[in-house]
Amino acid sequence: MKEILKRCFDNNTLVTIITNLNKIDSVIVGRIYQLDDESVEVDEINFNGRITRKRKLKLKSVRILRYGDIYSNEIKELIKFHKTSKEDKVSPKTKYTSNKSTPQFLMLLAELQRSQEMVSIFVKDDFRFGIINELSESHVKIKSITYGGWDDGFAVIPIKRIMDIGRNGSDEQQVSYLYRIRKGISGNLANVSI
Amino acid sequence: MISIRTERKSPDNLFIGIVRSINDSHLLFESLDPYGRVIKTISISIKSIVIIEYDEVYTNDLTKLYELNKTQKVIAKSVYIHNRTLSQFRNSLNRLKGSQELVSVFIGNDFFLGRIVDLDESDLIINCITYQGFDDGIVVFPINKIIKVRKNGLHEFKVNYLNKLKLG
Repeated sequence: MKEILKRCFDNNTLVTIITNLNKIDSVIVGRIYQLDDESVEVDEINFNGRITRKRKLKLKSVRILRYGDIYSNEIKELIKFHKTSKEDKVSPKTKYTSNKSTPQFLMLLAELQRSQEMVSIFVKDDFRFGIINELSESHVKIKSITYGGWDDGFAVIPIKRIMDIGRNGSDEQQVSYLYRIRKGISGNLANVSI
Repeated sequence: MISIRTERKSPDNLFIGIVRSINDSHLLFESLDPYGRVIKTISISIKSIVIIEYDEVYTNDLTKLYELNKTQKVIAKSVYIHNRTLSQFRNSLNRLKGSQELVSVFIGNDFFLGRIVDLDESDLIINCITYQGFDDGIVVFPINKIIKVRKNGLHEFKVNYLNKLKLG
C-alpha cells in the first residue's frame, strides 16, 4: 500500500482514501502532499472540486486506496473549472417554483428552451439536469445530462409534475462546463449558455 | 425500451421495460429486472407518471441484456471464495488474476467489481468496472481485510457482458 501511495504522491495523482467503510466521513478525496512511514497527509477536495481542508491519516488506517476512477477524473476537470471560471461573474442560482399552468411559467419554459441553457428540473423526490428540447402545453422534453456532463438520453416530464427549476447555480454551471468538455465546445468557460 | 417513474413511493416507483398496449388512462407495461429479464406485466395509470425516459445509458444496457436473454438462456451460478486461510485465499486470488475473470471483492459492508491486476504479500489491486461496464480505475485493498470474493454470479455476468460490448 505504501509503495502505491508513494507513486501517487510522486505523480500528484488524485486519490480516494477510505479509512472506514461504514462511515461516510471516512472517505477522503484529494492529493497527497506529505507521506512518511507513519502517516499520509492529504489536501481534501470536495465534490465541487475545491480544496476544503488538510487531513492527516495514519498509514495503518488506510483500508482502501483508489485512483484513476471516473469520479476523480470529473473532480480533476472541476478543479480546472474553478481555476478558469471568473467567480465574480457567477450569478447566484435562480430557482423558480412552479405555479404549474400559469402563462408566466410556460413563458419561462419557452425562454429556457430558446436559450438552450443548462437547467435542473425538480420533480417529487428527484431531479434531472438537461437542456429543454421540446415544449408543449402539457409536457417538457429535456435532453438529459448526467452530473458528470455526459449525454443520458431524454426525459419527458408533465409540466404539472415540475416542482422547481434551477438555472445558473453552481451545479448547473459545473454540469454545463463538463458537458462542454465532452462535446469539445470551447469558449468563455464562465458563460454557461450552450 | 423506456423507463417510467410514477408517483408511488420509492423503490416501487421505477419501471423499465416495453409498452405493450395503451388506452386513454392506462398503459400495459412489460417490466424488466436489472438483468434484462421480463418479470411481470403491469398496468400503469398515465396520470401517475412523473417522468418517462429513454435512450439513457441504463435503459440502452438493459435493451442489450433483454435481447441477449431472448437468444440464449443465461446461466450464472455464484461461487464464493472466503478468506479463511490467508495462504489458500492468496492462491485463489492468484488463479483469478491469471484467468482475468470479473469478480466482486467484498470488504466491510461494500463490494467492488473488477479484474485482478496484481497482488503481493499484503495487498490486492483490481481494475474496477462500473455497473454499466465502464473502466473505473484502480483500487488497492489489504488482503487480510477482504471477507470474500464472488465469481460467476449474475451480476458479474452482466457487468462482464456490458464491459465487453463497451470495449467493442
